[in-house]
Amino acid sequence: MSEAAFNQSSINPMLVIAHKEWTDGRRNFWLQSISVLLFLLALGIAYLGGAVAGQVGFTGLSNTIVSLASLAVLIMPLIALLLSYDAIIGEEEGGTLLLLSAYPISGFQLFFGKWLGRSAVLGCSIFMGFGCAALVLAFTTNVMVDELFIAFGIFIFSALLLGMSFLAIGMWISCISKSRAQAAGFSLLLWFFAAVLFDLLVLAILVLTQGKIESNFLAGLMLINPTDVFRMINFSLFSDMQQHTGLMNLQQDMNFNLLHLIALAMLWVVVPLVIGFYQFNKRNHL
Amino acid sequence: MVVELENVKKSFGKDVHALNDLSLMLNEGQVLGLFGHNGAGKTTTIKLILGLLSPTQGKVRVMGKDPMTHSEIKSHIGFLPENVQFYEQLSGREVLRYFAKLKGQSLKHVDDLLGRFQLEHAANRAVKTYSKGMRQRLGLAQAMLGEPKLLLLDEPTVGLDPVATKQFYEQVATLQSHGCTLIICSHVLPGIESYIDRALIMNKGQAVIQGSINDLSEQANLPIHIDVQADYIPSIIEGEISRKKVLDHWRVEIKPNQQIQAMQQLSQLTGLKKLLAKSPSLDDLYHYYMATTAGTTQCQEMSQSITGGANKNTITNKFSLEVGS
Repeated sequence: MSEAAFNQSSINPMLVIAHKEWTDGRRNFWLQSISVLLFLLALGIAYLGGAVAGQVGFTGLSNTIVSLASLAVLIMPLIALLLSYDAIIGEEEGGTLLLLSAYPISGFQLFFGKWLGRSAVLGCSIFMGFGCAALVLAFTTNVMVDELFIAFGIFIFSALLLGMSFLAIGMWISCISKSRAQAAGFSLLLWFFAAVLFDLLVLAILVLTQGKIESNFLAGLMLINPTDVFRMINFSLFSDMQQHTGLMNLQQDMNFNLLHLIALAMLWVVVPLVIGFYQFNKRNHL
Repeated sequence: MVVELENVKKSFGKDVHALNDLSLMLNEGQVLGLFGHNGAGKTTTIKLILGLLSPTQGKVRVMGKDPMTHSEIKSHIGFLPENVQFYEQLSGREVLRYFAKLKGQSLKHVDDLLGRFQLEHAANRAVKTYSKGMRQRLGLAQAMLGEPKLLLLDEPTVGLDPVATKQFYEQVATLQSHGCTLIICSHVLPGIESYIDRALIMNKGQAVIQGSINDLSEQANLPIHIDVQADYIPSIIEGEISRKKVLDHWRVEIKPNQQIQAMQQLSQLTGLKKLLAKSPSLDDLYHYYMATTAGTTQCQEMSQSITGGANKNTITNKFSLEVGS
């Protein structure tokens, strides 16, 4: 094969790797099980979400999206980390990373091919799971179809960004871990911190300082956590709602633009990817 | 020159010297056996040739180019790492097709390779159902994708049964006749002698000796063993070093340069039932050369153990004093 032909096909190895990751995702039933899980989650919340308030049945679009976002914010990062924590360290432990480095492919193609393939698995599951749930709601409730699709569209898109962001973070963890088990441990810790502990800490600061700290500062603090960005995107859709709890009240004091928030969520995909790739290169070249 | 290493040094940090002043030249169609214990520097050498590591000092050229900066030469290199676990959930055919695509090769050779390594019956089965030998054969098939000009094989016959081993060596001979250069890494392989042009024995990052098997045995000057069984064995055999009784015959050690005279003398014995000369095997040579270098390191270890022993003594003395008091 000539050098010119090799250069021409330089995008191909990335797609070959992405396609293999996609096949893995299907073979391991990730695709199917995540889709079903998200579908049942969305429908369950739509129909039974009001049960706490004594209502059974669909209680409205805003209720559904807000409740769904509150749950997805816990579950999406967990699924994404599960999908990605072994991406690099798994290949290394199997010896295939060394083998692949003897192939005429670049680290860039390998790293981004893997991320792309796994993003496709996650994205497809999100789309199928939440999308099918939206379809069921469109047919079985009297909610306005255009409102439903706009709300679910933004929800699905932001959930995808959240997932891709944590996929990138998971790959970063995979590059700095010494074993698969260690990567799993780091992932769990990180998930707990970002999805659970972070908000509690910010709330604690708020309470301990008795509101003396600028609420703008705290709201700004929330921007450094991709899970909070995701929540803000979905809650900002229903700013008329009075259901905001905890930290999300802060957001009302500031007027974050939806587009700005989405741009920020995208940044949260790009930054960990770039750092992860940097770590990947560092690991490969002693 | 397919592979060219010139006074290559490789250190990791300040204290770990993986390779020290290694030079190696390989032409088209040459087969090199690279032998050494674990940690001898075999894998580091391979990684340098693959361009995965840069030398601390010295020059590495593969097909005339620096492998660190010319990754396009990798399409002409086949590699089988030691201990590689292929993707368990894919079938053997899918694994080979995946690697063929990554190498930019057409997929038509995949089935041919599966046939050459007796894997066609298992081609559609998941790799997780494969035996150790089948996995190794799949790895070899992977290395030979796209008719490489340079093949680097790390422990290629591990897990292969004798038939598969023999077939593997036949493949090596065929590849060599097509001009492929091979480097076969191993802790000594029985039977490999007749398939390699050159041997490089390494120990602790240094080349102990390099050359053809003939060069190696000439330099080692190891005695020839002659097994002889006859009614009467003369008390003086030409070039004899020692003799011992083994089962029903005598095993006589002969100086290598007097092998012919000794054989002539012994062939005239009355009642001769057995006469068999054995030159030293690669295994013997390996152990000989390892022992010659181990001599220096052993001395160091001994001096260390003496000082270590002294420390121990003081500790025991102290201990006994305490007990005494």
